[in-house]
Amino acid sequence: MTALTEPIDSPEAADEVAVARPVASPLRRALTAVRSPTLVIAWLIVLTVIAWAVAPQLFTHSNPLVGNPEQAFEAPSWHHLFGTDQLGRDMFSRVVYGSRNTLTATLYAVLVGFVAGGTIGLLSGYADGTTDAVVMRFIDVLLSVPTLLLAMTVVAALGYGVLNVALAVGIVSIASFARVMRSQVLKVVQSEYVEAARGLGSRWPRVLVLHVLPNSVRSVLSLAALEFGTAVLAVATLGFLGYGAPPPQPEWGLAVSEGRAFLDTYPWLALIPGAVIAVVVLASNRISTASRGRRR
Amino acid sequence: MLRYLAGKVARAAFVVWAAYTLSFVLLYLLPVNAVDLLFNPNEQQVITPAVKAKIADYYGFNKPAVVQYFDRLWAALHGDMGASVQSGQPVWAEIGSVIWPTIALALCALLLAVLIAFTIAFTASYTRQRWLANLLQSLPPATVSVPVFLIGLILIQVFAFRLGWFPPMGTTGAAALVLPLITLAIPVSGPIAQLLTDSFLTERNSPYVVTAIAKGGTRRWVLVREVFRNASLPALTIAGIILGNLLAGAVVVETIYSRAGLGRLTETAVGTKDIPIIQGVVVVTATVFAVANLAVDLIYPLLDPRLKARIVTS
Repeated sequence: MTALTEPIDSPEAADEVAVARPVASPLRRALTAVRSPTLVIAWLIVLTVIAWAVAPQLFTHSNPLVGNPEQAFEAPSWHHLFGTDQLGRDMFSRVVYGSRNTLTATLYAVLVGFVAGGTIGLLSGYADGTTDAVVMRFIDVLLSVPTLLLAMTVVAALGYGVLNVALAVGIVSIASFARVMRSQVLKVVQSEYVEAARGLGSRWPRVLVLHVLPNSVRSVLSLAALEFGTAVLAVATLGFLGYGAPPPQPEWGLAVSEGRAFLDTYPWLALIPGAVIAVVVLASNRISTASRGRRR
Repeated sequence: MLRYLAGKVARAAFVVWAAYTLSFVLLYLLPVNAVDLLFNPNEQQVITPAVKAKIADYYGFNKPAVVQYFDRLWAALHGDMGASVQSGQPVWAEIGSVIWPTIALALCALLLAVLIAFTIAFTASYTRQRWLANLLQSLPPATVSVPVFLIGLILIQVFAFRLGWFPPMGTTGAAALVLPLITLAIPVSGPIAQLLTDSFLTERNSPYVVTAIAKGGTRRWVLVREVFRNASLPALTIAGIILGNLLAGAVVVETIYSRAGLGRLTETAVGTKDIPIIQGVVVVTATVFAVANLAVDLIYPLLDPRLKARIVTS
């Protein structure tokens, strides 16, 4: 706690330390956050794009699918913040509406990895040594194929589309979720309350759900925060390669790939959506490192 | 010692087998109609049911899944991974014809990435300027946050279109290699730089460094002679991650720069649903991964005497 080493020069500050000592209050958390301006900016960015995805119509009046051909290839201006593309569609509204496709896929991907990986890790960590060893060997194999290649393989098997891309990215992340969950379960299983619950005669599913799961899920949640950035990147990359949403639809990765043809003459068409992806990933990684730092 | 070796080799073989099995389940069992996937989607209409039945018979799709699996595995062990749906060429010939440009690109990019990573780690721990150290330490996480395709497009825009120093695409000539090389090296250097920076910082506070300084070693001498060796060893342990980044990067880089190679082959294979090729690429990468990890496992004890002693006595 840094507050204890700082001189306390006002009664309010003393109160605040006294209140904040046992549990980190929301107020205190907010105060620590303000001390790091980059973290505040990161939160603002992530919340903004989530708001874009939830209610895009609040942020732009232009239609993302229908453009005005007379206004094709306009450079970024006040009227068209990100410029317009070859069909005269407003790029800002395409990016805003595109966040829905990209972020939905990301959310599903993280959910798939979290639920499937978490379950595998939970059961494997609680099971006997041989089962655990066998399951973990197979999880290791998932890690021996590069993530992008594995995701592409899943897409090849399932077909194109936003949901299949989400599923592919989710399957790829199962391995890391399973490993983190398992290592946490192995620690929790050793604890006295689990032994006590067993001693009281609880059956194993009850012990697993009531005692082991709640006490080991936290570290997996913080991994989910980290995976969010990775998943945005993976979804955008698969979208860029053309495996995600079909063309008239707005999607971040696809937008970069569509703008690529005009890179020489109208560079903003590809570079602005690309920069949006980079900024969102940077912001969410900043948040996840901050949350890891606080837990320590 | 021999047991250690045998265990590691068995592990590598297991990884390759499991990758084959995994890709078989994903690509041949999961799709509803695997026969349709084996044809070029554009020619789907002209193919008669008789031909499809013949192909289904050749690949054994009408047999039970387990029999199919062992048939394919047996063929694979004899070097037959099937043939490309698009070109009709055997999978190995197809992969063999494009793998060398990718290996050359990946090796050069790896060299450059290691160079970048060492420069970042060394400068971050050598400098007395707090802001410079902070800036350098924030670089590695940033490089993995920026999409590879964005790095590539920015480099093309600036160095090919604006300045005209390098060609924007193509495979021929050394100049065409420069931009892909840098694009690939940046994301690959991230994890290496991260690990090296952390490890430089921990090693710097260890007792032997204090001893070396007490004996009168200068800052640079201690860093180069003492810290450097001990801090760089752990980088070998993330060889797998590095390889993965190289291959994933190659898919995007070769697509952006229109270069022939394994990455571009994979990209088109997924685009045209060329199942045998995809499986071939999965098996090849898993093999490279397994061999690289095996090599690290075997080399590491030679470099780290503590580990060697443990293996010999066990």
